[in-house]
Amino acid sequence: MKKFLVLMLALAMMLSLFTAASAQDDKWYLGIMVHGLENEFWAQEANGAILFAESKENVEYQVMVTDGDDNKENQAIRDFIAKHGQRAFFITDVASTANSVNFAEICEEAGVYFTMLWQHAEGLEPKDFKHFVAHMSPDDFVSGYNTAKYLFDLIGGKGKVCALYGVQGEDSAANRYAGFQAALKDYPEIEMVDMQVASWSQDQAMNFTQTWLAAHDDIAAIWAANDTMGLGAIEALKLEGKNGKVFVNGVDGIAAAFDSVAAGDMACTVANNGYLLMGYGAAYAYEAAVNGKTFDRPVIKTNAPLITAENVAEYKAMFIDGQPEYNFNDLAFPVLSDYESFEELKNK
Amino acid sequence: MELFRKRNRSSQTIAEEFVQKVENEARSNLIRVYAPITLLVGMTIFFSIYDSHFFSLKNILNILQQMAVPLILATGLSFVLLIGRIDLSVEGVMGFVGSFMALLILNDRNANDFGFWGVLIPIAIGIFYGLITGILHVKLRIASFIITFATGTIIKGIAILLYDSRAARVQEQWMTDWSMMSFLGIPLITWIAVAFFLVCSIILNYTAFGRAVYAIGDNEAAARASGINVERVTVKAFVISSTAAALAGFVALIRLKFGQASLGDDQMFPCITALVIGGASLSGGRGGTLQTIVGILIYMELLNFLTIIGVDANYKKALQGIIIIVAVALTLSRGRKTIAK
Repeated sequence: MKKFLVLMLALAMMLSLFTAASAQDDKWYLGIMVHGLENEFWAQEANGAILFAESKENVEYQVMVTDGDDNKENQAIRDFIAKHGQRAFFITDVASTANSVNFAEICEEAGVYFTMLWQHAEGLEPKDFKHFVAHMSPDDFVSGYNTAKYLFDLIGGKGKVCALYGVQGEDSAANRYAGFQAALKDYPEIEMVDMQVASWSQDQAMNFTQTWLAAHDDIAAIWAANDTMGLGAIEALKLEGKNGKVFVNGVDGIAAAFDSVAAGDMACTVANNGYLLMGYGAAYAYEAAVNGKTFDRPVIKTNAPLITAENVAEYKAMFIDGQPEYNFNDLAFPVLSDYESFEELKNK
Repeated sequence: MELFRKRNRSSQTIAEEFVQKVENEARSNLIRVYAPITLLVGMTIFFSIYDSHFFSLKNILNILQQMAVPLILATGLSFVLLIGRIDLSVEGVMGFVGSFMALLILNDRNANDFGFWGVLIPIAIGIFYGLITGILHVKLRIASFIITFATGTIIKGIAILLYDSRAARVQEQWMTDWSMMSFLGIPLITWIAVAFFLVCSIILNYTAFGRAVYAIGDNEAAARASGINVERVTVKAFVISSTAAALAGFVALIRLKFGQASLGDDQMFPCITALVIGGASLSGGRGGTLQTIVGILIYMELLNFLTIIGVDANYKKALQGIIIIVAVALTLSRGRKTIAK
């Protein structure tokens, strides 16, 4: 599949060379940088950017896979800039936190606009670069908070809960858990029984849940920092016929989690929505490059919908079975509207 | 006269020293075999007294269910360890077999429904992959930890490409049933693991191949000189290890019902740790079926106990490491062979 894609990309590149030579440049060239296409979410991202590119007649695109390799990414953007000059613009899920600096500097030097998703090095801010259009990501704290709150409401605001943590030392794991803890403060009657580090692993999450069920009779909910761990907890519950009775959440919104919500086993998950991230990320970079638009608040926390039994069918049709339709002219659409209230919570 | 007596005394001392040495060795050998068992029994008693939930029927069944995959993997790995090699490809093989199997049986990704064959084909490929790994290792003479790391990465990569970004969820009813099924109160997947363990025990303890495995681990040159086909035995050990990995992939899929290639992640090192705790040596020659099961039980009980008493997750990893060092230090004899290569 990957080989095929690479081959197709090579072909597309050769073709674009011919067309570039013939048609005088009224085209803009979007470079789509993703880690890979083997992961459902990364594929969503790339497809989101393609959705945007196809919505504009004067945009051509190229998907470039970095495999999380800094050198590969830098080489690819240099080549792309060499070919298209300042008619190029980028949307990137940057290969690594460290490389976000190189990425920004290479583009800034070449005068090429770009939007960055997810990780970025400490202190690397859009405001310090002329061509760094925006930084976008869903907020892990908000995801942790919203899922926890949903679980706590389901169990009526009281009872025993356990938590499954991601990988120690990772920002997203820490921030999601911080969101969970913030929600915990709002519910004084909820008893936090235990937290265990299951390292995003389904297997480990299942083991911990089994042990919790043996040590405590009356666990009401299990909060998980991602879908895979949530699915592990659910397998443990299934062995005792407690699935759907002890409430479990997920975060990320992978296809299996949508199915689990639909089946009534998982209470809720958060769809990170790669379509929206890369689609609108590309739209921002395009607006900056083509229309000279600037953004007042270039660090953008995006809207990540909470998926529950009520809306799962709708979102599954949109994200998993099909593709969402976005109006890429409505630039305010992806922005998380009530972000200020969460900022206050975080600092509490 | 004076001179004679002196010489006599010194020869006596040498003889005594020799006897002393043999006795010491026998004693340390005994310690090596019995220390892990003593540790296991002691631990179990201590844990049960410390927290009554530990020795509850439900928790024991949990441990039995959770040890199925590690027991299978460790049993297979013990052969490779005994001949002084290591097999880092087991995680990849396990992930491949599990995720490919999920794609072949009834699932939510495609219309496949190969049933029995859907289980058999991935396992067969997994076993065959061990044969290839083993042959590459002996023919190309590449150190086992390099070649198996490479082959493991390759097969995991293939697994990811096969399911193309979205892992399959198992919808096969019998597999769901199997995950719930038990016989004499003990989960079915534990029986599968125990059956594999018993078959491997017989192979290791009662066949010429098993004796050859020990001989190679003890002294490869001597084994070769005595007419053992070292290459052949080595390849067979890798086949057993990949068979275990393939079976573990199947069992893990029964447990989790979600065919991700990451199914095998973080499975191998706990098993090797458990083997070493049980008394196996990383440089080969030492270990065996008893050590394997005792090591796995110690490891699983320890993990379980730390969760039951609710040790803070942030200290747990460090504590786990310290306990492993102490356990290994207690159970290993510090002979020549125990210094890892």
